[in-house]
Amino acid sequence: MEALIQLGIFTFLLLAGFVFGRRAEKKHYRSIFEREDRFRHIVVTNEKVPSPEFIQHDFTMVAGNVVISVDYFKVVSAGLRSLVGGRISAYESLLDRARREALLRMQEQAHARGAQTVINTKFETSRVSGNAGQGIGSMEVLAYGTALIPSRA
Amino acid sequence: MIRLMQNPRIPEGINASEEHPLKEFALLFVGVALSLVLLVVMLSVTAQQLAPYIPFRWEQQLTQFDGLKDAPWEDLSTDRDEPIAEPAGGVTAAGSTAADSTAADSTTADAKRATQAAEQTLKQQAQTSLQALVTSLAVSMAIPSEMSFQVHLLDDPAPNAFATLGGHIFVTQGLLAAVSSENALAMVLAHEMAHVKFRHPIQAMSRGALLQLIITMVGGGQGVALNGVLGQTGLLTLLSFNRDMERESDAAAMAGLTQHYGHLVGAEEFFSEVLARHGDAGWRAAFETHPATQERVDAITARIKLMQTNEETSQQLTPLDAGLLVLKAKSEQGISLKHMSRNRRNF
Repeated sequence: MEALIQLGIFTFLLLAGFVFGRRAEKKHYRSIFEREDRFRHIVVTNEKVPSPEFIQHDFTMVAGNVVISVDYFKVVSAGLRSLVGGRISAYESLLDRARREALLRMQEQAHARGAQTVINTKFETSRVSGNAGQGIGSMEVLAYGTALIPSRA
Repeated sequence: MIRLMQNPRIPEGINASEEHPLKEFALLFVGVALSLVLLVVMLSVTAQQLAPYIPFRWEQQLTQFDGLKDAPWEDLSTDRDEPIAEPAGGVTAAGSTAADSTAADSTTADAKRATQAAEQTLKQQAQTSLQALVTSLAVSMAIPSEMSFQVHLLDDPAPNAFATLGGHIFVTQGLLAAVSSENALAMVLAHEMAHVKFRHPIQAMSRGALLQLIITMVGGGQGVALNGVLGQTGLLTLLSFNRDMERESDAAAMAGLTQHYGHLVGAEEFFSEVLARHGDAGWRAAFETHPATQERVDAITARIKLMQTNEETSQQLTPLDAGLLVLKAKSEQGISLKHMSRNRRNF
């Protein structure tokens, strides 16, 4: 009987994780596509030295960071995957979303400053809740770069 | 170098798979579940085959403790093989310590200790009678000589009995209250003895240890999620005796009883009573480790009928031993029928 209850709780968590996680992911991707189109004119590169035409531009650092929680369904899915090996596609989409969202937030900031381009873009990642041990983890990405703004002078 | 005027549109599906997550999950789940079941079945069978080769002596050593006080069941029961001196003044020292305290205190304390001592003696007697019954049954049941049994009487009012490693058999006071003849009690005891004879406890333990090992190995890296579902569902039910073991023990118990009393009359009494009190488990039967009570009663009555046609013997019920009757009468007062409806049964 206790085993049945445990199984019920597990199934419920799994189902809730799947339904809400999937909904959040779809919604997030729609928003990412829409905003990527909107900020397409703010070019993001990783070159360290700006082109000569930007020599006279002002510059400032812009950054975007994001934390996305893993859902229970993804945890179980990844746990099963860890037994047999292979790509954990459940986590791949999460990293994809986090990276793009961080870039978008950086671009948004650059846009607010009136920048044309962001150079020397870098990514960093850490695990805020990962050290909690057995808890449900989260995906954290920080993107930062140098925004080049046409100088008013 | 030509400067990009726009961020390029990168095709989707490179960094994140566009496959439906359920598809991957289902595939993984079925694959892992199947291989786990296969592994568990293989290991269970192996454990069951090999466990009987573990010397019974090791079992006994495993369940031996320095002084019975440290034994894990000491929490459950109040029975003691030998009186243990307690700082507060046990059974033997009751008189001398009482003298030190005030008069009013000492009379109530004295009375309390006296009843406690009386109860202790009663239990002692009952346990001795049980032990004697088990010893005489052991002969009829052709128990190998290296095996020995120790009966422990538990205070629990719910009728129950179970056998564990090292030939320890536990009987509750509720069981004594529920039987009216020695035959019925002997049936339950013989059933538990048969478990020990066929080495069922060590088989169950070996299987359990192996399964625990698998669970730890499989779930080791992934923690809660997997451990939870593997540990809590299904697998744990394998840790107790299974139905085949119960049937085997029932059969051996019936054979032993026939040998001992010359007939089986009264053997089914306890099971019939349980059945009458709260019926069969119904839909829960699928999850129970024991055969349906009705089935067990039927098996016994069928044997009785078979024997009645074969031979004519004096089929007298043997009354309970005097040592048991006193305690039985005492426990019956305090036991209401509601205890009979408890679901957990081990006998």
